[in-house]
Amino acid sequence: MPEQSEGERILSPMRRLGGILLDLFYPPHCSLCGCRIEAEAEGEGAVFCEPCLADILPPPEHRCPLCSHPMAGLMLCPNCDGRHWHLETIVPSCRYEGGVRGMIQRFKYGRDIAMARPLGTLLLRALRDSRLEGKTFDAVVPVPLHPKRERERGFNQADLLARLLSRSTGIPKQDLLKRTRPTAQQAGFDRSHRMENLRGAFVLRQQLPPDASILLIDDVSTTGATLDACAAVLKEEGAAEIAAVVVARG
Amino acid sequence: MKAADAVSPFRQRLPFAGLLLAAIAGILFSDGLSVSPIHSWITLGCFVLILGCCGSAGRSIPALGITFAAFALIHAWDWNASPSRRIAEWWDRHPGEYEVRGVVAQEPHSSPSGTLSFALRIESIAPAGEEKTIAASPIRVMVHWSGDAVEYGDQVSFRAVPSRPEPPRNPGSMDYPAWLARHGIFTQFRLDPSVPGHMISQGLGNPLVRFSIMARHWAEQILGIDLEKPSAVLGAIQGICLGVTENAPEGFTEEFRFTGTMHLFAVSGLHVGMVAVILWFFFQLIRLPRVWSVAASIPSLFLYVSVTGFKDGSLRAATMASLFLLGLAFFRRSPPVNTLAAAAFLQLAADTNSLFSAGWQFSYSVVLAILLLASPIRHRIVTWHCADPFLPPRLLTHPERIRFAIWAEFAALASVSFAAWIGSLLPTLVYFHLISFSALGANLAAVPLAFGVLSLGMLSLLTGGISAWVAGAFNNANWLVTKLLLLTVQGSALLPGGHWFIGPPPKPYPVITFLDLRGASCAVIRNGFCTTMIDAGRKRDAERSILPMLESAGVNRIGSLLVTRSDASHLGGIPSLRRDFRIRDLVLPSDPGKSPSARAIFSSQVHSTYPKSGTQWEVSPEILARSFLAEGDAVTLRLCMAGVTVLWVTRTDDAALAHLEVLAPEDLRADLVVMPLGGARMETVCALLRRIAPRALITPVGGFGRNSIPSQEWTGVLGDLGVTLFRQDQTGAVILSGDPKNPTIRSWLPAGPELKLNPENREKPGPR
Ligand SMILES: [Zn+2]
Ligand SMILES: [Zn+2]
Repeated sequence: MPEQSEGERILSPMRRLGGILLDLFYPPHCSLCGCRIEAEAEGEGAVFCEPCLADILPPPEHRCPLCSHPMAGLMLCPNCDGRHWHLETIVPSCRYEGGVRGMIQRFKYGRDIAMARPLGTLLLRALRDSRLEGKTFDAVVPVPLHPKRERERGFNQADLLARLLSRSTGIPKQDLLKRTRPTAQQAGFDRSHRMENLRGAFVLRQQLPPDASILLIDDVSTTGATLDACAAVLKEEGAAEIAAVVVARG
Repeated sequence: MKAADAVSPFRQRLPFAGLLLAAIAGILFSDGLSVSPIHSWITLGCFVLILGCCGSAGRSIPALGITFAAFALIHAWDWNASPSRRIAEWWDRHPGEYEVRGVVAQEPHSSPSGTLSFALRIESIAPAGEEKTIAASPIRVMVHWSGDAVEYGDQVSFRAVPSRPEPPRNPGSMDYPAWLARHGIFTQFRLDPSVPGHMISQGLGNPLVRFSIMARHWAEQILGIDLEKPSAVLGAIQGICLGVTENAPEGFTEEFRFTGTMHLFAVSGLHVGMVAVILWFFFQLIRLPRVWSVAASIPSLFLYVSVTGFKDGSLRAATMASLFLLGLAFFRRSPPVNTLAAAAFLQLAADTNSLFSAGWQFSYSVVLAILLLASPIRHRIVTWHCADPFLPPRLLTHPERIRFAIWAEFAALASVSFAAWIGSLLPTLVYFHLISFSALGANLAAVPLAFGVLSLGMLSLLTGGISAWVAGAFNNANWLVTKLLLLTVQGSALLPGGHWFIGPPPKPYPVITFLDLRGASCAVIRNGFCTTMIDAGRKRDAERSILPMLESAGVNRIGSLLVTRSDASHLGGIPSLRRDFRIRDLVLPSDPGKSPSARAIFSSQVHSTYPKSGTQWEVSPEILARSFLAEGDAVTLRLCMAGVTVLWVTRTDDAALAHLEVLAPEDLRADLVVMPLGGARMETVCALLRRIAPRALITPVGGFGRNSIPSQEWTGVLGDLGVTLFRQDQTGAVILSGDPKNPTIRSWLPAGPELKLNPENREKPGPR
């Protein structure tokens, strides 16, 4: 369409100028070691230097096809066996160790908002996983945080990741869910406790399109209980297919 | 994982560091071009050399080159071709009276004598009595006002003669014309009270500036609720929270200067950082989205900076904080050094002349040093006393853990303090001529205390609008903290050897500087590292002229101070001198005289008196003095050093001169006479001068009464006697250098005379 190209013609040099200014004021540095990186680099090269990138390992090859728990064989892991999942699958993009672990902790507990970009870039790795290949999604949905907790932290880490993912994939981000109860810290509970803890914690915020296929986003998942609780609500309201991506599986 | 600031700057990408370097080089290049082209080319050479050495990437060279050229051009336009400079040069050729109309461009500053001074943005200028307007460009001038009360933004008109701002009259004094020129002002108008100026209309200035002046007055008032005013404590509170103004009492910042804690005032920007944090938490509290919080914080921050009077330090801090906040919106973070360089670059782009301002240089060098050095220093200090890194923390006992934690806190504070000290070393040396060792300790206590003052001040301001009682309570708490801060600073300023003044190396022969104090008298004799003084001027002279002269010369102690007369214009400066310098021997006339201020000094200062009239004694090595009692409250001094003799006559009325006439001619002979000629009788003085046979005579000019200004006839009369007259209204300070090969007497101001006292000239015709 001619109108669009007209707008594009004005916008693209401005965007390029904006990019140059951004690189001047906030020159690209490795998010892990803080050393400089090439200005022209794209993707993961724009947020990590090469040695640090080599240290970020992909998740183990042998894992549970459903929850990605590392194990050998083609069967489901003990965690998933006999359990009714509302999710198709949970796909992590990296191992939860070393630099990635540090970044996630700084992001969540250190309130370091600058960690959003590197983690968001890493998250894109998960989309190339064989389990998600060829699939299209209608919406990216972040796992919500209770407003009280969000105020404490200043931001919702899953929401920032979803926004970045949406920007680079073009899939619209939709805040379909709301957390109604400030669920107690998940770490330290066993599985049945977690399920108990999560039941009824999420409600739908707005109507979702019929037969939508949805991509849930969170930073880390341990047992997948939180993600599944979200998926349950969405499924109940008519979502056709739900998959989840996380930066790492804790 | 390491934080970004722990990475060596050489491993970081700092695009603004290069751009800033290019900008500074461009400004220095174009600044020197008109005065000393050699410096310009050296600057260019250094810049190219640095580019070649660090030349990280060849493709950034065009950008750096363009920046260099752009800043050189902007500065050339701002500095060499500004309309204010051009009209000042035009006025030099067309003196006379002019009719001026303009708008007050600055909050008027009131001098101790009550005169208002302010910068004026001119709207029109016409020669007096003519209609035609000769200029209406954006010209700024300085006005020393008399007439209707005026404030910022008032439109005024007056009639006066333009003149150039007076250059400093004494060595070491502040170069006021140069300072004004860097603010774009080259001309001043001094209004005659008999032809007062008029205010035409009000409210023409920038409403934002008017608002910030109002806000500042409001803040000053809130901070002063319930406190005694004016007082040093209140001055310090206002200075720390709002930046020091001209209203600070004279000598108030001295101790802060000596102890290297001056940055707590003008240059720290600490308060801006705190306001940024408070604003951020406030916006988060009212649940404003992040991007909106950023959008709201930045203008509020700059509003606060405008309230504190656009100090360089606060501007720097506000720019850095804004860049950091913007980074939050973009999920980006910049290496702090790059943010610092970006702030410096933007400030130079807004005004290239800020490169030459002391505040700019202080502010950036201190913060740069903190960013680069604090972290390695802290690391070094922590490792002196820390737990074995291989020991699991669980094995430490509770007291051990507390001890290590306290040590780590101390290391953090000490490293910042030490880094700031290193950063302020060079500018302190250049501007204050001193190295402060007490700064190392003083900062450790002063910085946390200043932080307390700032927090309490903020609390007082936040609550002041609601309840004066609560604000008063905070102010009283603040009084206590500030008092503690002042005591700390004053205490460390008193430490012997805490600070040293550093000047150029002394000459191998005696040098006497006769300061021009407009009627009052003071001379400083420097002989190697020995300093002897004659008279101490008035209190005001000591603060404004004598102390700066001594400090810039690198004087650290005064051997003897000989006072020749018991009145305020000869010894009024003693308390100020005693405060900042050790005086080994203070010699006063035997009679305290009638003036109450002189009597107060006689009773409060430890002193000795002159030996018997006519006795010769050694004041300091190689300087012989002989004093002759005139009236009891006045003394005539004759000083001999390195083959030059100076006769110092204090009183020139007939009664006082009579006692000199009875002296033998060999007791009187001198190469140089210092004597106030105003009010003296010409015949008596000429008769005396024939017996003294001097080559030169220095006369102070100024002060009160009709006798203070000697008539113009004297030049001719003395010329007939073969005496060169140094009138201090024309010469400023007079400097006698006793170089045995080439003794000279020269004027400090370029307009005054210069005299060579060569021995071969000495034999030539003497008195007629
Ligand atoms: Zn790296
Ligand atoms: Zn599984």
